Amino acid sequence: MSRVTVHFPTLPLQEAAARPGGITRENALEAAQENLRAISGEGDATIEIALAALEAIVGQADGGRLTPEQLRAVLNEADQVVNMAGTFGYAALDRASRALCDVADGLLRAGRRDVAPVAVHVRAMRLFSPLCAAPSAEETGRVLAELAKVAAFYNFAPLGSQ
Amino acid sequence: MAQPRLNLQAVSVLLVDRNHYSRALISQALRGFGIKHIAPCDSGAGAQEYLAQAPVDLCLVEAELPDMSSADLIRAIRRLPTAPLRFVPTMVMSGYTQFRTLNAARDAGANLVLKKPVSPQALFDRIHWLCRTKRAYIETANYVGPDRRFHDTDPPDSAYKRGTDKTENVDPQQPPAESASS
Repeated sequence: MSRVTVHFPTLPLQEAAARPGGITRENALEAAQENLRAISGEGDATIEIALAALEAIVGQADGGRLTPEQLRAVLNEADQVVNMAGTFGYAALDRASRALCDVADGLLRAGRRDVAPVAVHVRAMRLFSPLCAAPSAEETGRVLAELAKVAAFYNFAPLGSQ
Repeated sequence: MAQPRLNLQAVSVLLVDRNHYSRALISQALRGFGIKHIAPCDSGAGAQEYLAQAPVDLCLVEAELPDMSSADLIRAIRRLPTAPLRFVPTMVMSGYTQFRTLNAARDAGANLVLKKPVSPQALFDRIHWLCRTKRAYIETANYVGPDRRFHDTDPPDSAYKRGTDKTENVDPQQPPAESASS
């Protein structure tokens, strides 16, 4: 029979946090938001780097096909854009990059290598990037609806549902 | 009523994330909370190297590191011989593509999972929860980490119950009516 030991450790984190003084939730969040605002410009630059990397991967496609390594690189870069877009509230870019994650992951799982669905998502992301002029709500809706059709065509479910 | 306060000035945090900007964002939020000692690492090996030299009070680990998964790193931490460090509260941050790795992180002994993009609100609330909640740690042959069972207690009998939930004058010592009649 395997041995089970139950510990009730004293955690230094809990001891430190219980000391007098400290900060309220409201003040902590205010200070954190201010700190984040100070580096938001770098966020746009990071999105730009990830988009350029995605465009480079699409440009390297051989005969309209990507290798599994390239698709994994697409996933990694798109994931970075999801994080940045979500952090700074770029809603359309967030949705387009999530859709690219779904498509790239779906292609990998299905053993397909088509570059076209990846390329169309990357173009949409470029359209929604913070350094481009923001499209109207109507145009944004139309582009996102077209991206949804691509996922529907391949029958790829969102990543979170797997 | 005065808001509860959290004193994080003396807390040291190990932050492991492959992306330097992601590390910068989380560090900025942590500094806003008053945390002064933040050790950033970009790989699991780097994190293990740091932990061998300096203890930390909290670990924030990205789900998928370039050289290992967060589960591997957490498992290594939970098997350390030194007592305070092996029970260090560990939070796994998962990006959009890493959902599938979350069960592995939990089973390796992670305390909490936080989905990216990480908002300061979510981060603060999780840290607050870790600071205020006492949790037993379980050690077995194949698992060392926080007790994964949470008590799910019913509301008290006198309040918040639906009419259909009511059981009148039931004596807990007596068997249910059906079995009593048989």
